[in-house]
Amino acid sequence: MDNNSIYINSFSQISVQEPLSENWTTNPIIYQNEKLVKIKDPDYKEYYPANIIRRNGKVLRRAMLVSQTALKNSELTQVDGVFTGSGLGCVENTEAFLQQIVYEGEEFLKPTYFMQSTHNTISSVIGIALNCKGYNSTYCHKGISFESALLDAYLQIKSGKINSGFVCGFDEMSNTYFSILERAGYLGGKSIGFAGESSAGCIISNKLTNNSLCKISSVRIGYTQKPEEIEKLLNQALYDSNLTINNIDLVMTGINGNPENDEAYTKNLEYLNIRCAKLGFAQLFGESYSGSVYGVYGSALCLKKSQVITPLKIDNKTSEKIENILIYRHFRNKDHAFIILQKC
Amino acid sequence: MNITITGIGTISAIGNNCEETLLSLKNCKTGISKLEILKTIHNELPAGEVKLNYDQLAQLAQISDNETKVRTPLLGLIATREALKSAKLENTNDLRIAFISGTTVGGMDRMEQFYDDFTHNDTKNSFLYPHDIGDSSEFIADHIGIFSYVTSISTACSSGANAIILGAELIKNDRFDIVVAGGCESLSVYHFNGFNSLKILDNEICRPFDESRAGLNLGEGAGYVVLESDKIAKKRGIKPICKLSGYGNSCDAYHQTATSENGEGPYLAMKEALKISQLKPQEISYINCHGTGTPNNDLTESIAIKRLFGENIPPFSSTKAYTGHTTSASGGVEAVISILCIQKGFIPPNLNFKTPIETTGLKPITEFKNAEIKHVMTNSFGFGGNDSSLIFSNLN
Amino acid sequence: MENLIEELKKEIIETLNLEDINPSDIKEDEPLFGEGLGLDSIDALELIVLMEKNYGIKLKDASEGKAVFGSIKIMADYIEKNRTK
Repeated sequence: MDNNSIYINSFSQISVQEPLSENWTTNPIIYQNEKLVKIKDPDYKEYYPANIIRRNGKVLRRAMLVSQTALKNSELTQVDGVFTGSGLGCVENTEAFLQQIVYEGEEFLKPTYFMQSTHNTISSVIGIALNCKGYNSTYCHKGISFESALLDAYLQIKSGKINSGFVCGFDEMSNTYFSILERAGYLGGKSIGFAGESSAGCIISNKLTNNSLCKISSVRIGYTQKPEEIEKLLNQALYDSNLTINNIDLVMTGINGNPENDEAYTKNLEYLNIRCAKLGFAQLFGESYSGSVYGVYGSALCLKKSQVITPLKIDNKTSEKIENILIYRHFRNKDHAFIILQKC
Repeated sequence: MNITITGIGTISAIGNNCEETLLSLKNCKTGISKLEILKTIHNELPAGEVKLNYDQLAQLAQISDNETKVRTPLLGLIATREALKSAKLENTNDLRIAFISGTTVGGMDRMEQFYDDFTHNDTKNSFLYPHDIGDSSEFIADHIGIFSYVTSISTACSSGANAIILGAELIKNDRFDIVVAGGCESLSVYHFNGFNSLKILDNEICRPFDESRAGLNLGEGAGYVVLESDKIAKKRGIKPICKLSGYGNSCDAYHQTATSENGEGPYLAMKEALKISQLKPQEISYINCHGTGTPNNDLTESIAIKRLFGENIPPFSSTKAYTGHTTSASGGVEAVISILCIQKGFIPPNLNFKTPIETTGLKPITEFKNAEIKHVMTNSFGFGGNDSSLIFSNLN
Repeated sequence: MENLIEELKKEIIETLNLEDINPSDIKEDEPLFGEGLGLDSIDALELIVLMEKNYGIKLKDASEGKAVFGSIKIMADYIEKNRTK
């Protein structure tokens, strides 16, 4: 294979922290004793004429603004593809349409709810917002939705098929759907962490620019419950990056306060011999299917700043240098994803 | 490196497997009829329904009785099992195999049945898991048990086609030896009403590419293909059926439901597929069109075909009047139909066509035709402007 | 008739989420689609549901709606003549 390097050129986020800002790195908003925290939306009317966004639900407004902001900050004017990860798609509209059917019957249903309820609506709105007629796909696979989207984009740039892409994670959460996930034991319950929403994305390309945050040297995803297979996956990621486990300075995890989830991290990290300082995103941004986009975002910022962003820390270990960050995400200990980011 | 197809599997209103599907196509037999399984007040609308209830599907899918039965993954599992069997994938030792599945409806059938309980009480907890798209794919993967990467794609009606495209990329980039890819989708009260609210369902059997076409009929089903490099197929001693020679994915980036007037997205997708295949337009032997029967789709698809192929438009037809529009599964179902066309040498006629669309004048194939099919293009266009096109080629 | 027109304006603003429009901004004879309010095909579908739900009038499809939704006044006239509730 060739030696195409892939860079994260810009990142943009709207979240439970201050939107479109990096203030959270020094002055984070701390959420305690809350089960579900929803995104703090900016006033979209400051950015778009009311008529343009009147039909768009929250997640679609976020998608427009996040994608356009990322492109603006990237020193690129156009991307070749849009890669969206969204575990649940447009849940609020899906639920509105479903509730109409369940509680009011099958007459007089609102077409707009349905039209904007399919998972790909987000990516389609981004395609229009970025005027990108190239490749456009949406990955909806639980906790590795964002990682799946990133893998697709990564391979296409690596193989020279495209030069750039917008890769993002979007999930919204309704109160009623949250109650279903809580009942199923996925979120809430005994967790100490909080469930959230996600809305963030990055421009990646084979061009190094002044604004570039870091290099992506590997994306590996696997489906297994065997520790030795997880190890194999990690070794492939290290091999892609020309590193050994001792070169990893920090590990970004999906530790989120849910005992079952966190225990698997502890066990697997130990098995994998990963002893460096641990970071987390869920304590700041909340957990959602595509929430790990904030993990990649936080890690990329650490590399850009060459320092550990304190609010991301979840243990007391320190790191001498910050050159290589491993991002490890599992979902119910079945889906496992490793991403390695390097200083550029 | 050639990406070959070594196995296929499908289920839809015209058959529970490839053999039955082939028979229906040869006999020009539609599977669209009055609804019997799905319970909706819109009974006047016909659909391509698989006439099997949960228990019957579970039996075909070979799952045990005490498991939670959800319609979409059951359809998917049935087609996946057939695809694996035809690819003779028994000894999977040392092979890296991925499963890429496209769907949108997921577990919506159970969600709409038990929504009130799920959100308010614990009485239906035996049916409770989140019912999202990923669940459907993992349900199938867990019953097969050979996959080391599982992910799900949802690009509405092009989901199945995009799963196949990702599969090809994963093999080309040496991430996997074999990828099983396609799509599955069951009917649900939810999207039946959704399409109805958009006023694009015909209350008669659909008439793709006909001037009088008045909308689509929804369908359900699944279609999966087994993709592997020619090298791996050779090593396994398997003779491939054909190869995937080209593919394109493009976004219309125009409107959330309607296609642009000049069919830009469909045009770009087909053009990209041709480019990758390194074929000239006139080398395409047959186009299996998206052809849903809605005024908007068939017009813009015709315009896009004319833009790309000029005066030399290959024989084309839509098979939607057989299966109904199986939405996210259609890319998979129609990939399997297209592969059958190469394998058995025929073009399935476009049913119910009488009068060409006035502004484009295109006439599809209307009678069953035996013909050597070297290269077949198959189109899948999703709303939101997610447009994809695949080209399968024979191995000569 | 005046009441019906005022009622319709409010319903349209609510149904189509026309946040920045006041009832007085909608002129009685102005076209609703294209120019004027600038509504599109999805709005037409929403208005078809509104006609059926609030006035018991069934329109077959968007093309039939096109004539009926010419302006607020035409819409009100049509409702007056055909309403079943």
